[in-house]
Amino acid sequence: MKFLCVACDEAMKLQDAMPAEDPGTLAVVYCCPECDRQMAMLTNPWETQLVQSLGVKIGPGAESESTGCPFAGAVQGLQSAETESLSTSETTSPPASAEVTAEGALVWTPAALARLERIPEFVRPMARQGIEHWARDHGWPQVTEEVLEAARGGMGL
Amino acid sequence: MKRYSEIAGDGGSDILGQVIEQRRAQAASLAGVGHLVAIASGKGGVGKSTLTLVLGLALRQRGRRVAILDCDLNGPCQAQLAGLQEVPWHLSEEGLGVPRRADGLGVLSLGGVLAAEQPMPLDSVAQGDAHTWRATREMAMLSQLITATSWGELDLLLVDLPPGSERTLHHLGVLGARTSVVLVTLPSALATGVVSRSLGALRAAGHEPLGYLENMAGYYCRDCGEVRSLFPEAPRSLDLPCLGSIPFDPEWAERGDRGWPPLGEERDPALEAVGHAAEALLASLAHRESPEEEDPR
Ligand SMILES: Nc1ncnc2c1ncn2[C@@H]1O[C@H](COP(=O)(O)OP(=O)(O)OP(=O)(O)O)[C@@H](O)[C@H]1O
Ligand SMILES: [Mg+2]
Repeated sequence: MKFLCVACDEAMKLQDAMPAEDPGTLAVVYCCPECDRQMAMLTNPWETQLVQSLGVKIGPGAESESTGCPFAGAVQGLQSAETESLSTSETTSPPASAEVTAEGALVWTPAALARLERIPEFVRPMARQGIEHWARDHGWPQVTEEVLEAARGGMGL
Repeated sequence: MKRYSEIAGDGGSDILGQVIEQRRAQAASLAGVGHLVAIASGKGGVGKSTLTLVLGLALRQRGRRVAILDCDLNGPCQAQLAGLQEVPWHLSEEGLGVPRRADGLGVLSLGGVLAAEQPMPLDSVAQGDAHTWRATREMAMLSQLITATSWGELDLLLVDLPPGSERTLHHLGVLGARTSVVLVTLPSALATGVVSRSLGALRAAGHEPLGYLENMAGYYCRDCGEVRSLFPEAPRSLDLPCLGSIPFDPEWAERGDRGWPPLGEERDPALEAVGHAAEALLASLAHRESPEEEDPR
């Protein structure tokens, strides 16, 4: 979608994109470089979700950001409740799963955590749970890079 | 008033540029893979996943470097078939390492990290009407998973697709034009009819499958050692090269449930048929010219 200032016949420039107050909605602000008039496009949750489903970001400079983390939501701060609970679990606080929380979460060293952050966001909580489970079963007190390599040695058939 | 094409770029977020960057990253991740082969069918339950795994074992036995990508994000079963359910994913320096069996077959399946009763989590800011975005989201997730994985050097990556013509086309869109397709059908008029239709849909979209596998082509009776017919007289076949006819072996269900053991020296009709299919597949790939990937712009 492109926006045109009809009075000036000029393409409007994207200024900002932010979560709007209604849940799941987005305010995308444009400005005419000629007359400085601003307008905002307000998306409904389905429109927001459609773009978010592509794994792209909306906003000025989104193209450069998107290479850093293609797995983040369309706009920062616009994650669903579920994603938010997952991202907090990426600190050293316990993951969302009841089972693991009951067992108490293992601490990850920053280097091990950095490896976890290299995999897509939607699989992180599950991968994390599997590794913590393995580490606990094998008597490791925390998850280090060494644990991540050792877990690999425990192959299947 | 200015027209759409007279304004450079898009609304400012360069969404197309971002999508192109995603595709570039995915192609780079698969750069060490010689052949991408999707095992597909318009019909469900015909044995796509089972044949993918057993073909993988047969190719491995022939010295090929092989891995399997389980694209069924909703009903992943390759981790169980391969006996890799208890093996945690390998978080390597380079990204996600493909879990490997002792015989060297690599298998990446969400079944390796999702508990049996756990559905794949799909977060959304929209309430309801998931049909408007779900397929797009799933395809983006698949692409992210492929991109984040460190595939290394492989001769073949076998891709196990979920059933359905429409979904096959969506997946081929993500996997790219270099992907070869092998269809799976059963020797029943009902299954062949549905798979013929998926063949038509593939051709209409510009994909010419390498061939097809006819699964459950007879029943291997372990008591008398013979292959008996399972379906009434074979119906018309598909208008494609047949890469193999594999009989139904009652032991396969148990092997799949427990995790397939490595293939040894055993010679039974079903495994021999898979071995021939693996060789037919290699021969057919050797003759296939890889089309250029399309530029999404
Ligand atoms: N040749 C065979 N001999 C014995 N059992 C078989 C054979 N092929 C498939 N099966 C069994 O048939 C069932 C369905 O097979 P499978 O799950 O591989 O089908 P699918 O096409 O992948 O299904 P879906 O469409 O759900 O993905 C499984 O229980 C499997 O063990
Ligand atoms: Mg299947």
